Amino acid sequence: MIAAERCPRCDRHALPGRGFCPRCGGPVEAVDLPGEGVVLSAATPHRAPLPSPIGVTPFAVALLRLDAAPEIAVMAVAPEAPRIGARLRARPLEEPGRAPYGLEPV
Amino acid sequence: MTRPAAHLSGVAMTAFGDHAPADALALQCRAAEACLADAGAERGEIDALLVGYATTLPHLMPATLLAETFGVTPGFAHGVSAGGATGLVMVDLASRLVAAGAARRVLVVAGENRRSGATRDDVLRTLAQTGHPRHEVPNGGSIPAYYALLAARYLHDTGLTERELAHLPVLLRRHAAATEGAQFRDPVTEDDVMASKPIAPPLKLLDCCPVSDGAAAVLISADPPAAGPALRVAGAGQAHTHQHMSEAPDDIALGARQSSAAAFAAAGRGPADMGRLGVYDSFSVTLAMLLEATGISAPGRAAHEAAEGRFDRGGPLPLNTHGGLMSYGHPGVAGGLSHLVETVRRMRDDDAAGAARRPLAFLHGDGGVLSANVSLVLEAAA
Repeated sequence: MIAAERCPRCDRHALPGRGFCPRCGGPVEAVDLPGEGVVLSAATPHRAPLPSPIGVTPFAVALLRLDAAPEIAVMAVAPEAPRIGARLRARPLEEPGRAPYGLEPV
Repeated sequence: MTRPAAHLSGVAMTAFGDHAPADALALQCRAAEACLADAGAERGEIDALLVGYATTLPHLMPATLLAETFGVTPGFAHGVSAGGATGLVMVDLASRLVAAGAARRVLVVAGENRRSGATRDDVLRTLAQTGHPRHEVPNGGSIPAYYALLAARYLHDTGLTERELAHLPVLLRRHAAATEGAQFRDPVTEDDVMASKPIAPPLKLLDCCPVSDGAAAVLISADPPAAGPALRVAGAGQAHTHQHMSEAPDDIALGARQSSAAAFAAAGRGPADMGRLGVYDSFSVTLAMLLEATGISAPGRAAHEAAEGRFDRGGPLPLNTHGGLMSYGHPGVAGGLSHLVETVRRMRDDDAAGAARRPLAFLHGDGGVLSANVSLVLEAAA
């Protein structure tokens, strides 16, 4: 699951951290969204400013548009670049509500 | 009442490359001195100073610091930070100050020793902080990785090949080969780009700008310059649509569309009126996406047009003729100013030579990942 914040008034979601809705400024509720989504893009950095969170370099970085909240694109890591348009599931690799996020088959 | 014109009355930039042991302040002073000489202006005439951030000189008061070091006492001084858009954002701000009557001579300065004063890993780490600290940075990404995400999607959507995209860095290197002060001047081919080492595939080394030392400065003034064409900022626009890719609009180039439309509307001009271009080119894909989003090229056409000669020095619409960030070099804020310095120089040449080229230019700067956008239209008074 992907932890997110939902504004009941706007019915919009964002990744957690603000504590308010960036559209209306109103209160938000904590929700867990299914991690399924579609790969928007993927690339393979050969050099990283931080140690690779999955222990190998090069590794792939991808953006996944969540089915349950299309206003969120989760940036996630994978051993190899997935195909654009592929359906995968994102999940936090270490602790809920923060990167690194990983990708797994649906 | 007509809005007072903001003239581009002085420009200067150093060579980009390695300037060790000069530090950021020393480089800023060099560019400022050369800019005043170019404008025929004195220190005492400067009534406002804008200074871009320098990663090698984190300071609370970059404009006051430069004012003291260089030797001016302006009535208005600001440090400015908008990533790669900072240079043109400062020119936009300077022209608005002049138009509002708040200043008559605004000196805009940027410079740092990002190549010799920091390790490559430090620079990569600093730049990666444009990513979201909680939801992106711990993934281990970097600025090249973020732009590689743009590139993979751009190639997917347009059907272009990596080799076709390489026409853009090949063009810029050809321009740099003819430019004194460019960091990389040896010609390269599409084969060289394809064979260069992978940085973040689909981006290879020659798709990417280098890290450079260098500085640039511009003087914006209410009075036209004593000599040469009366170049002015005829229109400007900005758009800040997102900071992070995870919160970017579906059309991540939306901000470039908005800021360019605003600048063209303010100038009463359109892309077809332009005679020269200076467009931010940190990576091959940046340049392709920005040329297309700003209406200069049709979708998927920018790289093809580079190969066809549209952007050559003697072509219909010369682009980044100094070599751009990819070949002249990229010392941060001064890199974003270099396109303006080059464009003003070439417009002066056109004027002196009585060239038939239209005395209009379009400039665009990008900060973050197409996050901060600034567009300017320059025009020479008839």
